[in-house]
Amino acid sequence: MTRLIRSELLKLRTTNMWWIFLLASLVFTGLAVWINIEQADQDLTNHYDQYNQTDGTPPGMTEEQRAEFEASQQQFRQEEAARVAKAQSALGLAKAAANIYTSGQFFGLLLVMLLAILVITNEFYHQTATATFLATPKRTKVITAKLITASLVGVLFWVITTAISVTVGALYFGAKGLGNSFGHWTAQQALLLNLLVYVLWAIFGIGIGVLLRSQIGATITAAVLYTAGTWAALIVLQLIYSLVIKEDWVMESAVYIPPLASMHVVGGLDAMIGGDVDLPPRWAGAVVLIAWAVVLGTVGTLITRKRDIA
Amino acid sequence: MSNGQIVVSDLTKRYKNVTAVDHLSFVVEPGRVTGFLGPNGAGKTTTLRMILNLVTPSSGSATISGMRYSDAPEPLRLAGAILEASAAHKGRTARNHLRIVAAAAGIPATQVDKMLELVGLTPAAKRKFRGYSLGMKQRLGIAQAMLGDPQVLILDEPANGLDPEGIRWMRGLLQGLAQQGRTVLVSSHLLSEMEILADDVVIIAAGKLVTQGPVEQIVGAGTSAPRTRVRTPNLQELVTAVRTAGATIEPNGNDSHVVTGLDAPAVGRLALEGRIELHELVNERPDLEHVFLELTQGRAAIR
Repeated sequence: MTRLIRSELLKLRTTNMWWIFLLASLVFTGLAVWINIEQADQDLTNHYDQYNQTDGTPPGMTEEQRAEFEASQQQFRQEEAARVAKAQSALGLAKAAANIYTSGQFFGLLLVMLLAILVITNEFYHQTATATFLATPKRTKVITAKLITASLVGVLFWVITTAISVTVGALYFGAKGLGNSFGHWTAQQALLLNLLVYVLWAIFGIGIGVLLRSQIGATITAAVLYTAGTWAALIVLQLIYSLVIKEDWVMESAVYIPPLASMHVVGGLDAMIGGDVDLPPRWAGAVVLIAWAVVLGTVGTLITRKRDIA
Repeated sequence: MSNGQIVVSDLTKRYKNVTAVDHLSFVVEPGRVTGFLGPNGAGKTTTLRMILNLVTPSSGSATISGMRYSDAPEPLRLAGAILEASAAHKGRTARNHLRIVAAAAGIPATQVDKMLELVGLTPAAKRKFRGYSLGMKQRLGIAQAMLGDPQVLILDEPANGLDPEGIRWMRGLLQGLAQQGRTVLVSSHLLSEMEILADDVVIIAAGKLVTQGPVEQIVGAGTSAPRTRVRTPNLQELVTAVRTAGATIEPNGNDSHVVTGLDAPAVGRLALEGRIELHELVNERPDLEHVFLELTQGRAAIR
C-alpha cells in the first residue's frame, strides 16, 4: 500500500496542478481571515465607548428631550456593556477564535474536493487508468490508495489554512489584549473537527470523481452544487420555513446538506441561519458528513472494481 | 508455473446489443511472436483487455503462465502491455510518468532510466508528454511495458504511427524478445508487416476464432491450386492452351492474367510448345493478406 500511496503522491507532485490549488487556497484563506477578524472586531468592541468619547448632551434640547436622550444613551451603554461582556467572556472569545481559526473553510473544502475529483478523473482524461490498473490489477487497493492520498491532501490543506488563520488570529487577539483561547475546548474542538471535515471532503471528491468520470463534468457539477447549490438549498429552506411550514425542523434539516454540515461542525452555521432556531449539536454535523463519506467512498470503490477500462 | 503461455478459453464479452467476443479460445506459446489479426471490430482489443483484467469477461477465462492477471503477485513482471499510444498526462515528463508506474509496482527508479535508454528516449526523458510525436509515444509505451522485465508482452497495434525506421526497430526488438524466450502477442491490421514479424497467427472475426497456427502453414493452406501470373500479346492462343491443359485463366488487371491450376514452369512449357510469346511469367505466391481476406470475407461488417 505504501508503494501505491507513493505513486499517487508522485502523480500529484509531477504536474502543475498542486501549486495552482495551493496558491488559490492561500489567497482565499487570507481573504477569509481578514473578513472574519473584521467581524470579530465588531463583536468585541464596545460601540457605546467608541462613539461617546465626549460627555454631555447635544445642545438645544428641552428638559424632556434631554431626559429621553439620556435614558436611551443609558440603555445603549448597558446593552453594549452586557453584549461585550458576553463576547469577551471565555466562551465568547473561544467562539470568536473558533471562527477565525477555521477561516477559509468554505473555499478550502471546495479546493480539496476538486483536487480529489481530479485524482480520479485525470486517470480517465489522460487515459492513464490503463497503466495504473496494469501495475495494480487489484482495484480496491488502487482506490484505497487514492482515498488515503486525497485524505493526506486534505490534511495538508488543513495544516496550511490553519497555520495562517491561527497565526494571524492569535496576533489579532494579542494586539487587542484579549486571550487567544488556545486552551479553550470550544476553539480546540473547532480546529480538530475542521481537520476531520477537510479529510471527509477529500473522500467526497474521490466518490464524485468515480461517479462522474468526465473531468469537466465532475469538476463543474461539484463546484456549482457546492456553491450555488448550497445557497439555493438554504433559500428554499428559508422560503419553506417562512411561508409553508413554520417548524424548526425545516431549518434544522440544513444540517444534512454537506457544505452546511461542515460549517455547522465548526460552529459557523448558527450565525448564517441566524435567529432563534435551535440547531442539532455540532457532532450531528460530523455524523452527517461521515455518513456521506462512507456512502460515496463505498459506491466509488464498488464502481471502480466493476468498471471496464476501455 | 512460469511458462509464459497465454491461454484464452471460452472467453466471451457481451455488451448490451453486441457480443464483442464470442466463446473465443486460443493458446499463445512462449519464444514466438504471435500476430493477433482480425478486421476492425473483430474484438481484438476487447480480448487483449480481458487477458489483462481491464475488461471483465461475461464468461470464460484467460490466464498468463497459468494465472489470472489479477492474481499475479508481481503483475508487471508477469506481463507488460501497450494498449494505446497516447496514455500519459500531457503535463508530465516521460521520466516522471515511468517513475509513477515503477513506484506502484515497486520497481527501482534506476530501471526507469535503463528502459528510457533501451527505447532511445533518454534525450527527451525530461520533456513533457504534450510535445511527444506519435513515434515517441509508442517508444514510451514500450519502455513502460518493459519496466518489469516481463515474461509476456502484449501489444495492441504497436506499429500505428511509426515511420518505416520505427517499424523496423520495433520488429527487431520484438523478434529479439521472442528469441530470449518471451511470449510476444501483437495485434495488428498491417498484414504485410505481420507476415514478416510473426511466427504464429491467431485470426478472429466477429468475435470468433477463424484459424490459428504458424504463418507458413496458414498461408500454405489458404490456396491449394498453384497460381501463375502471365502477360502475353497472344492471349487467345494462351487461353486455348491453358484450357486444353485443364486449368483456368482470368484477367488480373494491368493486362495481365492469372492461371489457376498450373505453376510457372508448366505455363512456360505450354507457351513454348504453342510458340506463344510471353512478357511476364511469375509464380503467384499466396500471401497472408490474400489468405486473411479469404478467411474473413464478409465478416468484417460493422456490428
